[in-house]
Amino acid sequence: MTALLELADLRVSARSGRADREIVHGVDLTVEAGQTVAVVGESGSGKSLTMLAVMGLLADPLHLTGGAVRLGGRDLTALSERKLRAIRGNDAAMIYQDPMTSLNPLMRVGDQVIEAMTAHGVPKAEAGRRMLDLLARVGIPDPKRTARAYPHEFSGGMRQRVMIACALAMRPRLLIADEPTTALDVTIQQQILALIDELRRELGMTTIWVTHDLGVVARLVDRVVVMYAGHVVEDAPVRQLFSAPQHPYTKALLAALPDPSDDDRPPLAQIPGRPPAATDPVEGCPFRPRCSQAVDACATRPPLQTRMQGRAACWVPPHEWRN
Amino acid sequence: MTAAVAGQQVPVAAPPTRTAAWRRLLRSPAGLVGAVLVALVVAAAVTALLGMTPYDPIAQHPQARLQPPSTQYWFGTDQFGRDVFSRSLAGVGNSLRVAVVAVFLSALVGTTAGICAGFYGGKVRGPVLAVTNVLFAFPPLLLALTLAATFTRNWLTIAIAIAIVYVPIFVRVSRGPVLSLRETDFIKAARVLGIPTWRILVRHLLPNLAAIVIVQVTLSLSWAVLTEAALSFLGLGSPPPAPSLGSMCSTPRFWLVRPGGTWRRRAPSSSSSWSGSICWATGCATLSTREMDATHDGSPW
Ligand SMILES: Nc1ncnc2c1ncn2[C@@H]1O[C@H](COP(=O)(O)OP(=O)(O)O)[C@@H](O)[C@H]1O
Ligand code: SF4
Ligand SMILES: [Mg+2]
Repeated sequence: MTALLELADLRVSARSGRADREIVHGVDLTVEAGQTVAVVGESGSGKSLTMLAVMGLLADPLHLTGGAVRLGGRDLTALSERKLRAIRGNDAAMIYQDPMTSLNPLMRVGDQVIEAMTAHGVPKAEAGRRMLDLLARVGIPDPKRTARAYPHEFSGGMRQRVMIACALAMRPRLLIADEPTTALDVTIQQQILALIDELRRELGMTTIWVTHDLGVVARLVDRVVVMYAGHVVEDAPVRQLFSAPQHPYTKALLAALPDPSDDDRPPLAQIPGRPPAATDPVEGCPFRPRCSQAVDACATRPPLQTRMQGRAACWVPPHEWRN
Repeated sequence: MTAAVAGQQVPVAAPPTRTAAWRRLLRSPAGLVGAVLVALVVAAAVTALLGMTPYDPIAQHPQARLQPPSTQYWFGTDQFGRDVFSRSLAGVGNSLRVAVVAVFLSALVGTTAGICAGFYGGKVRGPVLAVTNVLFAFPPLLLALTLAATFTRNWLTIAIAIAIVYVPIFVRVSRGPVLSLRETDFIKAARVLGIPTWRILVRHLLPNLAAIVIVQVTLSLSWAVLTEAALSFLGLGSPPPAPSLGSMCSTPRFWLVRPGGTWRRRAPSSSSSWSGSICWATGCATLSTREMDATHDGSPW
């Protein structure tokens, strides 16, 4: 397998006054072509910023302060905005949170899907034909008529379907789904997840699911990358991650998942302590203030090291963990 | 809802259709009155600009100077025996032509500059806002006077002078909303889809800015009519003998003290303030209908 997406020591900072506050502290991540990966972590751990950096969409005050983003071997950080624009929506697409407000309220839904194609050079007539197929494919009833509707006539779920049609119109190789269902009802969430997963299979897209809720996507992915405070702390095949977590934070995350088969466990075990602001200055291991396994060595930052089939950034291996 | 798919329906601003907007305008008393008045003024202007006034507005009838209103000369005649009704129509035509061109130019330039300053920030914002602030620092009439005195005067250069004075208003009015529109999800979504920036500006940003620019256009039209009248009142409008509401108000000042002279001042000055107040009325009507919209659909304007 070849790597479709490679992030090497990716750093994102926010300018505030004259100083730069680093928020994403050197993410290393490789996604093989055809693979499906989940990026998990509490809100504020820098997942979205990492993905925006991949798309070349960091906007002031955010900016890249280091590292490389390689898509199909090409370093995107070296590209001009024009070339990046040609890649966005074409080679790499993104679906994200807020379908309620992500469509232009003054433009017909069908035209918005068409525009996603004409922007990349598809002739208008062909784009119009493909738009109808796309709307039908994402489950919009009666596409001919609904294409002429305005977004306010649609429910959140329907709008997310339209956004999916826009994102997938150019058959991108890489799809980033950044919490695409967080704003939706639970029942609709499942429909949308299933739809994206089906389309992923159909188009053979390499897919990154970004979520703060591992339970939602665990069934859909091959691999899980756990982020904490702007660091990757563990990266492992999904089975291994569940059966043998290599990082205390991963273990705590798993313990916080509701488990319907276990009545004794409180539905949401809490991780003690406060999730850090990604910008808090950290010495040593970023998880140390909340870690029950911390030892003296943790005053130095642990590097990502190979552990079984994956990698983890922790000085203390699981067999030495207390309790 | 068009299609029955489960999910929550959240009310969001609906794009108003044109017929609905007209119906709403004509249903409100202010809107109706405004529409009728505007229609009258526009009819007068068109009549004059097509040369369909009862008399040539600059033709002198020496045998009929300073006539009171009559069936022959509806508003009477001035000191050169020119028909005041025809001159009033022509004055309205001139005012409107100047105002429309001035506002069109300032809206075009100001909105473009405002959008660029708002959307690009950084390198564009600085110079645009600097020029805007300098222009704002002058009292508008003084600036218009200075500019009008600088150019060779005809209706077009006067329109341009007024346009320059009004540009900063459009910069201000459009930049603010662009700053917030730029951060909206649908503009970001358009960038995520790789839609070119010029297209985002024209197809996504501009339509969502249109409502607020249109309100400003209607208000500015009324101000521009008054500014033009003020310039010509002060002798810096269209040079004589061209009919202009402002100079028509100004010239007969000297005749006011003459017996029987009082009414002569009235026709042009009242039509000037008429067209001004009429545009105001439309502006207000537009605003109030907008406000009604805003209250029932929660849209920002
Ligand atoms: N525009 C911004 N300016 C400054 N800080 C930001 C900005 N956007 C996000 N951040 C900070 O970056 C951190 C990570 O944000 P984000 O990547 O959105 O987290 P996640 O997607 O994991 O929930 C947050 O703590 C947030 O405070
Ligand atoms: S390195 Fe130390 S503090 Fe960090 S997770 Fe491992 S044990 Fe806990
Ligand atoms: Mg996020």
